Amino acid sequence: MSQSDQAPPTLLTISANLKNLATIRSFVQEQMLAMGLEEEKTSALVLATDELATNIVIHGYKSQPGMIEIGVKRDGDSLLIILRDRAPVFDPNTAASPDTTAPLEKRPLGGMGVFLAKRASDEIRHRKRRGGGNDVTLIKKGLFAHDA
Amino acid sequence: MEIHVDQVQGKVPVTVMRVHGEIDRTNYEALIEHSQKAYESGARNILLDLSQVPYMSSAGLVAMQRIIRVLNGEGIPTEEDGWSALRGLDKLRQGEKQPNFKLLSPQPSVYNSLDTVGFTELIDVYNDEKEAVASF
Repeated sequence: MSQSDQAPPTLLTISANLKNLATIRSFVQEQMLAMGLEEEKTSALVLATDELATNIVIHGYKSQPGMIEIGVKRDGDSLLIILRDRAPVFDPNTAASPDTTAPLEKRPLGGMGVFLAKRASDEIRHRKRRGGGNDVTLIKKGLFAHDA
Repeated sequence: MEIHVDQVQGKVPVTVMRVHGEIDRTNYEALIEHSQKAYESGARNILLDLSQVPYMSSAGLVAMQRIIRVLNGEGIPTEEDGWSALRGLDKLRQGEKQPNFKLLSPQPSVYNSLDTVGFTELIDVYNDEKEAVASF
């Protein structure tokens, strides 16, 4: 495994504001492209990051001031996207998934963003941060398998 | 994001809402507001042109459900109704597609989101505008 496979991630530290979603998307996209990933493989992961960041702003910080730290990292043939905050503890895996076969009239919409994030990734790992907050890692396996 | 609204005549009048730019949580309400204005001006059939939308988050999906609700004459939910408490659309039954709201030319990543949440089973998606307009 080359050293670049385990290089520490470049971090984006940005205020938790919906206005920063476009910056967050651009950052994550640029990091993935710089790792040599093709654009069509990145779009669902950009979406997943947006959905998780949106949840941090709205449901985590409840639109109060706060910071989000985002990193993109390669780990062997997997891609890791890390989102850290200091909001109250919340594990995205506990969000209820929508019934995607139900008629529209019976669908609540909460959780649709997290559902898209789950579908875009193989695993969403959550742990509480020491001192408060959340460390969420979105894991997509096999993205770099072609050059392993 | 910009929205341009055109009136096109098919078998019935069709309002074509052409969206340019990314749709996310910062701007999805503009889509609902445009549809509400169109409805108040008499629009009853809306074709949402997504051909110039390179990115759409789940907020765009929420906007679509709310637009359908507007077209069904049920109004826009108030803020008190909450993001997750959306109801309505009771004119739809399982297996039926929405008759008065359709989509035009979503880009692959946007289509993928629509498909992932099952919207493509409930909303017709066209790639040809004339065909789409004629379908209403």
